[in-house]
Amino acid sequence: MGRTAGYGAYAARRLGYGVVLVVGITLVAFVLTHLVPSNPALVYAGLHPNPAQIARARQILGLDKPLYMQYLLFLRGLATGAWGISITTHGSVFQNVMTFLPPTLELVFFATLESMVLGVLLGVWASERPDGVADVAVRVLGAGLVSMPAFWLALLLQIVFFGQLHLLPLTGEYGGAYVLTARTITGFPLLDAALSHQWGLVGDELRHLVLPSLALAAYSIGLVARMTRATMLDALGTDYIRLAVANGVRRRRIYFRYALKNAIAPTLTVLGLTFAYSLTGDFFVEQIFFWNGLGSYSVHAIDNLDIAAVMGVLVVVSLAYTVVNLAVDLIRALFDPRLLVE
Amino acid sequence: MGVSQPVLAVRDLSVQLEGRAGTLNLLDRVALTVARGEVVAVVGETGSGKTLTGMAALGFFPARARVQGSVRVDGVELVPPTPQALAAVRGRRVAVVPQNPSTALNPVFTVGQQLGELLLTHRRLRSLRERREAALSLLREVELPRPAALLNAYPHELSGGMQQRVLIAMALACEPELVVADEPTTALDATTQAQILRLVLRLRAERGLALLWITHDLGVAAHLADRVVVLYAGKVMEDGPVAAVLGSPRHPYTRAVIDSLPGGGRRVRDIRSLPGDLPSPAALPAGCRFHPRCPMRFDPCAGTEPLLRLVGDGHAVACHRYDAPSTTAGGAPLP
Ligand SMILES: Nc1ncnc2c1ncn2[C@@H]1O[C@H](COP(=O)(O)OP(=O)(O)O)[C@@H](O)[C@H]1O
Ligand code: SF4
Ligand SMILES: [Mg+2]
Repeated sequence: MGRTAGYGAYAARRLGYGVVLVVGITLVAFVLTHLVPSNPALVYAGLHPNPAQIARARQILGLDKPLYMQYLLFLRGLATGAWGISITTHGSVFQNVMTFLPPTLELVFFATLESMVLGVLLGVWASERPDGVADVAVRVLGAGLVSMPAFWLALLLQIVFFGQLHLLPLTGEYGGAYVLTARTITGFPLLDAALSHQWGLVGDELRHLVLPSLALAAYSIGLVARMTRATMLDALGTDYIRLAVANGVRRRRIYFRYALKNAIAPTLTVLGLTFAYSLTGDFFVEQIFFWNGLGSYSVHAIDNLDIAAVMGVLVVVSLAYTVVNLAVDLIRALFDPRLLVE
Repeated sequence: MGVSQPVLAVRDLSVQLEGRAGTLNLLDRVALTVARGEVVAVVGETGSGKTLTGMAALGFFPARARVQGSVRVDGVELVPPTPQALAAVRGRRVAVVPQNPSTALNPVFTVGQQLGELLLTHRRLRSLRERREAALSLLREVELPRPAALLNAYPHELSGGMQQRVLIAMALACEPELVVADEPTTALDATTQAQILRLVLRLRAERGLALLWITHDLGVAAHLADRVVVLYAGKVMEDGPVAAVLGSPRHPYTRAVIDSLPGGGRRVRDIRSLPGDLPSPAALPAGCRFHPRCPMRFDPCAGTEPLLRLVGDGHAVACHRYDAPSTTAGGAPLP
């Protein structure tokens, strides 16, 4: 009944919104960074530059052109990977970003996985008996996780699991023993370790991932758990679930097939929204855990008013945010066909 | 297990809730019987306890309610509703056609998936092809056009009448002995309603289904039912063959309802139009709970509660006018 056509049109519409969003974000970011009262050419040209050196630096950085030209050039460069030159690393911003992005993506991937699995399980568990022991426990835990700042939780986790229990490593992506053997193939540390069959390194990296990913995921875990609980209870109270119960559908099927499918769409939306939060949380978490990713790179870039680098990071982050929310919309519509009707 | 064992036997069913306003007497010693293949209509004003009675046949009672008496389906006792009894009854022996078709279908599953779930649960059709075949034949049985396309349709793509037919097909998928239908045509327009009633009559004749049909529409009851049970404020007022209850009603409440209807009392329609108010379950009148509104009340009515008494073949009435002559000094049977 016209479902595939409906889905195609829906996907195209979402994609259109995504493109508009990215362009808008680059524009805003560009304008904002150019309002910062600073002179990047001075920073680029080094200590005590003479006027000729400054002029040369302005030329290299393209700062002598009109603003709209700078933006158009920036957009063209964006598409071709010419993202400008970082005034702190003196290298290509695109190269920098491609180097620092993969470790961050691995971290965010695990954090998202944790919020999805733990959040949904906790939420379903709590919904089984409203006001029961599990429900109260999950609600208290959820409120705690949602209201605890990422950096605070990060420090707490370090104190408990490293300081007290000696169970997990304090910082870094892997232990010092692997410095010489770790290879770079794709740039994704965990993937590279697996590709080069260094299973010891894989295990070590996973151990290093536990604390930062949990610190990053905490907020979403709490939010997803609360959301899942609420939407499960809503779903379980609907006429159609009550009819399924009346018609003798088994309890387990009711929970994990019926109610969960009804509850998953709003939960996905929450995951998409908390993704933005994870990215800002990532800045703190990477600093605290000495994680060599985009967060650390950005903090450094901001410290040094490295406009090109900040712009690069902004573009990547907004792109990632747009892609994730686009994916959420597309997946949601698979679970709930009503979304195709607008 | 005798041949004559009824599908549904409700005996002295009382449901009470402790509320802030005191005890709510939602159902009071309700009794009703549905024999195999029989259609029993439960009629009453909104709030009279029709839905509570119908849901009791599936072992649904309000949370924290005090439930007394007995509800037996095929001899399986549902008071108290043990998991085993519920598993033996819900879907297996009794299925439901709910009131509001637009909210009773799960919006995120196709018609085929929702039928398939019940076919898997109750007919143990493990292969997708078997379920598809069975679902198709059910959709044809409820006279839905283009059944193959319908299998992949989502509920929001169907009209109200089609949704109700799908819900009837879902009830049939369970292969129950009794279907509880709670005002299943109220949300539909008159034409669609008439079509659904025709369909139900046909299915009933073909499958020998027993029906507990809940309605406030006396016209529907007259059209469909073998027997009618009249509820008033959680209590059975009159119970008997449809011709007797609607043709020559004995209880003053039933009479008042029929007389108050437009068309001179013979064109029976909607019970909602009766003047006056249903008493609240928190403050039921003493004696006969209908006495404040009753045009026929006399001495004993405000003091003692009338019990159901047989006044004809399978026809019972709860009214002091029909008490045995020795106990009804001053009261004379109605003409
Ligand atoms: N779960 C419940 N909790 C409290 N009161 C209820 C509940 N279910 C029904 N009632 C009350 O019981 C009475 C009968 O309700 P119901 O069976 O739904 O009536 P009907 O279907 O005839 O309109 C009403 O007064 C209603 O408010
Ligand atoms: S018992 Fe009395 S008040 Fe009640 S219906 Fe009969 S006559 Fe009316
Ligand atoms: Mg009702």
